[in-house]
Amino acid sequence: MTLSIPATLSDSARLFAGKNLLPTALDTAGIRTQIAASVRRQSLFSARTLLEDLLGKYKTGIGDLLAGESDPATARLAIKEYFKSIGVTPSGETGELTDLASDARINLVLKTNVQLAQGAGHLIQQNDPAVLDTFPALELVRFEDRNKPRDWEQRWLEAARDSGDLKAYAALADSGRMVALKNSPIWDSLGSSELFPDGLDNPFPPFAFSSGMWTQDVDWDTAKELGLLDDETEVQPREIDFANLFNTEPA
Amino acid sequence: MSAIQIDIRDNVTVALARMQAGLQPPVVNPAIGTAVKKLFQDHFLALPKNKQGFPSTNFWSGAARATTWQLLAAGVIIRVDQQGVGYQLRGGDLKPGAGKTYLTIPATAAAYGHRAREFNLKFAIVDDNGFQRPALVARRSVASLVTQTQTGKYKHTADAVGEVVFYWLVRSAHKEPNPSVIPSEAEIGSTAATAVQMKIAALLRTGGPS
Repeated sequence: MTLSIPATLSDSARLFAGKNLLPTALDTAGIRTQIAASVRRQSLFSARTLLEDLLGKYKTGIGDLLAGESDPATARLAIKEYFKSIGVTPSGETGELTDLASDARINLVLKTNVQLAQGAGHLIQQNDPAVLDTFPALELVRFEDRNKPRDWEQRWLEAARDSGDLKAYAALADSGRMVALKNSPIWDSLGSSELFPDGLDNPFPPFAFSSGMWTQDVDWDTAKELGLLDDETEVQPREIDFANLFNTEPA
Repeated sequence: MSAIQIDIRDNVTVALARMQAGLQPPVVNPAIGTAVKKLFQDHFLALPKNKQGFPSTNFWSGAARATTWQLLAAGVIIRVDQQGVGYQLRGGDLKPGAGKTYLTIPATAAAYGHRAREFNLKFAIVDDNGFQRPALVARRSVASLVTQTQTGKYKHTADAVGEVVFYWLVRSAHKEPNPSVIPSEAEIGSTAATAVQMKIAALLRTGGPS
């Protein structure tokens, strides 16, 4: 086994590099209602952030994080030093998300954008046609604990009802596991802001702000045990409209 | 009675060709990559949090999200695009960056996961159980001792400074390699082999790529 440093960017890093800066005065709710999800995916924005320089700093920091060339503390420091250079200081309430210069806000912007790019990269890999006959499904699992976790099982059931995926509904009801085929529409419903106000409108994690949930591949035999398919099933790849999903075509 | 001859070679040849096509590296390696990626992710998620017991920065769950597979001409690799994972694995010596004298070691939960420049800290030499150690401290309070002289006047005698050590300063740090931060070669090999078996099972189900 050989260990070395990757010489090329990951899919996540490449996808993020193609994003356009989108200065906006809209708040979070306004962004969600007035800017189409496809535009949001192709853009780097932050609620009430008109400073293009600031967005540029974020883009650099997030890109470096995705490439494994920086760490969250260094990326956050760069943003704080930018604010200091333009004479902006936090209001004093470090936990206030509406304060652009607060630690909480900076951390949220960095973390959310890194994870969205990673989620998009994973979506591409997970739906590789060469993988579907061995790993046809995904499971929603917890990667990080939260002090106040959302009720993801309840959200799963609602998303299953909304999307019409009764097998995914039954999988949870019967096994306690949130598993669905990769091409199930539940993955669109799970992040839908029409269904869940904190949804991010992406078919990949994170499905909501500050979520500790992620998806992992599930093998054929397990999917079969959970009743999602049988040996006659031919699992088709999820249709991914790259033109509207990302700003960059995958390699 | 006429003899009959049934030639099934062509059907077998076609089936074998499809199976062979289905076992080519570009078709098998994504399955291996997927399986080993999950192995790495599960391994990272099971690693213990920081030894000091500070609030977690979610380093290892971040590493799990940063884990992907990539096809190469020679096979498939697993990549973990998160700074620090390599150092945890390989260990080594850390020295201060250009123009700097010290490395910073977090001494309190508030400092963990932050850069020293994020705080308003002062350099100080702190007594640490009899050892005088350089540190970056936050000065929280200053209490002045005032005494009354024999003439009845008051004079300032001393200051007691309330300090919290945020970072201990060291000139270098050494970390031993820790191969247990990633799965063992045996686990990786076993997982890859299982993925190949799963691919064979898939080919038997479907007859291979058309």
